[in-house]
Amino acid sequence: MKTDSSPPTDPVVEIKGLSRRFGAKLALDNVSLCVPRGMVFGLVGENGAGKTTLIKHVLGSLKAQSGEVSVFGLDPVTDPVGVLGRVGYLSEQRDLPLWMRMDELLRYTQAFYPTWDVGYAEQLRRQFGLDPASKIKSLSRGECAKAGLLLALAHRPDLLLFDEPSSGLDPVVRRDILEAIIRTVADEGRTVFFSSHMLDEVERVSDHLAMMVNGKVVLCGLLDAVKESHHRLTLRFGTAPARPPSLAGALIVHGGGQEWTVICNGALGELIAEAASLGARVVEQGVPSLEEIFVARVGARVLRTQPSSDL
Amino acid sequence: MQIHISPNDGVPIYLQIVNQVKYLVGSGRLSPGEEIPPIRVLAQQLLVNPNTVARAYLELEREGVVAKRHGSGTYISETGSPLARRERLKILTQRADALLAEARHLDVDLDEVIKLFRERQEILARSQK
Amino acid sequence: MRSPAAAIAWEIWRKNRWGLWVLLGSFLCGLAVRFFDRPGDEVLQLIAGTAMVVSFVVTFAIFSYAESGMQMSFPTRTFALPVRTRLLVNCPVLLGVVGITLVHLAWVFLFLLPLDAGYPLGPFTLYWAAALLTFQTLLWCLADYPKSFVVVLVLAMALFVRLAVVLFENHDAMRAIDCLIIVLPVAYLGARLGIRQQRRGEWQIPAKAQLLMEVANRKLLHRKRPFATAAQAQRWMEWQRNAVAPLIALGIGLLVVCIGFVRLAALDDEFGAITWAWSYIVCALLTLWAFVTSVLLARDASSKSLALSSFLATRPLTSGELAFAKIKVAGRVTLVGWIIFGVALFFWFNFFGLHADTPITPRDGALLPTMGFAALALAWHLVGALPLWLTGKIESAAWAGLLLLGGYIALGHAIQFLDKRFGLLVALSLLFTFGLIAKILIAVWAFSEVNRRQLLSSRTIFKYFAFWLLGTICLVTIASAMSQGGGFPQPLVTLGAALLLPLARVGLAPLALAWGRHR
Repeated sequence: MKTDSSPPTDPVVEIKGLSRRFGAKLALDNVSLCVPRGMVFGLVGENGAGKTTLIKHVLGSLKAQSGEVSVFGLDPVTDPVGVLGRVGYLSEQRDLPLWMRMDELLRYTQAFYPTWDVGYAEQLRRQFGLDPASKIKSLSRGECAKAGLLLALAHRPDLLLFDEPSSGLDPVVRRDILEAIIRTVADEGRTVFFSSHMLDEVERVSDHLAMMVNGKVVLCGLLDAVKESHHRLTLRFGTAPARPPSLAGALIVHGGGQEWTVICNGALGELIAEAASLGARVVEQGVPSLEEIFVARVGARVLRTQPSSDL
Repeated sequence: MQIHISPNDGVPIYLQIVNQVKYLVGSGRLSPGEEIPPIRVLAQQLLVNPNTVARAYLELEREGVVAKRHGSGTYISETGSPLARRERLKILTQRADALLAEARHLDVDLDEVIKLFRERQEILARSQK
Repeated sequence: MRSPAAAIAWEIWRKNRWGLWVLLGSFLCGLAVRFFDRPGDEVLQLIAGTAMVVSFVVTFAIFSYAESGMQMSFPTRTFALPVRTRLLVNCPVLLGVVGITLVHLAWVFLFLLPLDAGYPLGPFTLYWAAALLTFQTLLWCLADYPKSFVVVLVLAMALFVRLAVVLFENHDAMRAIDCLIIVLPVAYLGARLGIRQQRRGEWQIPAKAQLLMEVANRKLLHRKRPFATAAQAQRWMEWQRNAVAPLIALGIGLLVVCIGFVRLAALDDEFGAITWAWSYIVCALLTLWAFVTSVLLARDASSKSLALSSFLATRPLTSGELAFAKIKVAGRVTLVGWIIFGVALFFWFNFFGLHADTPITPRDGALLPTMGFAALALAWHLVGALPLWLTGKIESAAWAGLLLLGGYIALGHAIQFLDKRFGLLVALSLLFTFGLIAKILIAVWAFSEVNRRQLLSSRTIFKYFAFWLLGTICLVTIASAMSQGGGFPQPLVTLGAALLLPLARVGLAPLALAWGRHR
């Protein structure tokens, strides 16, 4: 019987004011996050935004330099057994011991988790098509990922922690990973926290979303709320403006001549009114995809750091 | 139950599911009283979040397209026929709009189109005898 | 770069700039010793000797031309380049031969020629070229079979040690030189063949043999029962990965040495000198083996590096249990190592019983120090620097080795200093007493810290303290009994025995691992 130190409504992972510096580089800048129970939480960000650093803090591989991290109400650094025993972790770096055979690896991992389900592990092994006598170093990349997924799932963890699980894998394995995420969260009370570049996967599967840019969390909330607060507006001007139009709340602007498309953040009514005040008519309006929002957020940062010659 | 969703559509995923279920009901591919898959199974099949599927089912239940029976799953509601009829007419309306736009493009006026319909209907009726 | 050969040479230089700095440093060290040399100053000689050894080891490392990382082997990425295989092999081989010859000649002109006019320069130049070439060939050809590599490497080292001894004594010099002349082309052709087959993808054990090995592996080493606890599973992993190969190497190494000396004794009559030589070589072998094994044991059992892998860092096991798994396996390796050494001693006794008129007893001048030294080497080295390596901050064995060497030199200096003041006996007694007090104090602090942070259960800490106390009492009793009749002062031997079993280091190991695990 595992003792639950946090009541059912408390968040599974709580990060408050976490900062981390590596030498001169500030990898995490005052990050605060809350992963509620029973939800799929997606973390997106470009390479080097700090996603892996954040996940390492959740695992206890990095100690918080300032701020605090609590998983299941426990500190992962002082109580690694209590935290890691209920976490299933899959990273993009396949760091399984290469010299072991598949069945040895399963038997070895089984000893660490009291909640290991042998029948379920066997079912997963057959479903993934992993030969028990094969050595890990002879597995292909996809099979390695499936083996890691098996290890993460077989003990039915309360928290699935995936760090870019789909990177470099074929669509079949990516399907398996998504299915695992959905199956986990469909069970009562189990949570998934994953970081990914595959924004269409994040869009399908997440309840909550957080976006990191340069170590800061720029967006955090329910996925639907995030999408509803962003708009893609196509403006048509009577006469082609001399410079690209700037709307308050606009993240990125592109186009040419009389038609310009803007991805912006804010209340729709105000945006249309402002467009009208600039002398433009809204000819098309839609909800941008997560990829467009992501590129706008990240790209906007790049644009703004450039000298404002034409924007 | 064949449903295809695309996340980049611009339409929220739950709404895509709702629309497609309504389409299936309307086109007769889902008959009243037929069971639709439980939330978890459909979520795994489509690879979407179960909460999204739950929201779609809730919306369908609210509109009376489906009904939940205590503990034994979700079924297409028996009183689906007025909705089905509405759905059927909606499908035909779409086709009619497309045909009329094409006729105008090809410079064929309305009387000729109606005459064409009558002719094709006679041929169809004769071949079915 | 004008040509592929120049590119390869540049690559070796660029990748090993650290090594060249170390070489430079060791030469400067040697020069300084030459400059400041006073007769009878043994510490300086020791420093010069160490610098020489280091420079040779570094040269071997530089010209091994092996890709570090997952598997140390010939860099297979070069196979995709538009160059012939013979060029890929000739470059590192030729550069290696030139390099080792230069290093060897430099040391000879610096030290040996002025001291010893009878040094066989020519044969030894040949010797070192052959040694490097053999090492390169073995490393490149057997990279995929680490266990076989270790075994063959030990055999090769034994052969070369014997050749060196023969060359020094000038007996059968022609035979030795002939042997070297044969080894050179054989090694070169072996390297060419191995790399060529690897490039074609045909360098594998034939499928039938592989199948047989798999079946044998499954029947003999296969574990079918699940593990009772996580700690047991971790110990199994450490044992499988880090302990089996070194023990096999020790067994074969001792066997080869004993057989070599048996053959030597059959020809020679001076048993006294032979026994001393045997003890000396066995002590050296045991120390070297214990050092290498301690580095291997400190390695992460999942990956091949010294740093803790993320696989093991994310296991739900306390840092204390992770460290203790290593320590328990080290203890087991020590035990099995002593048994193997005991078998070698037994074999040696029997041999002398057959051939000598006077039987050798353990009280014999050569064997008691051998056994003492063996016990020390095995136990101390195996756990000795574990806390250092478990921090994961030291990335390579070379750095760790250099640090340890520095420690030894400092210790030697301290002994010399105290010797001048108080005499050797008192000096050693002082050192041992100080060591014992420091050991107990550090242990008490370390274990209380481990207990406070819950890295180990109190039961485990208690059990280890009890084991240490019991073991130390036994060893002290045995030591005092053995030194009753012999020529060794009792207090010194008993103090030494009390220092034998590791306590402080065992307490520091979990703290070191926890420090490396949560950065």
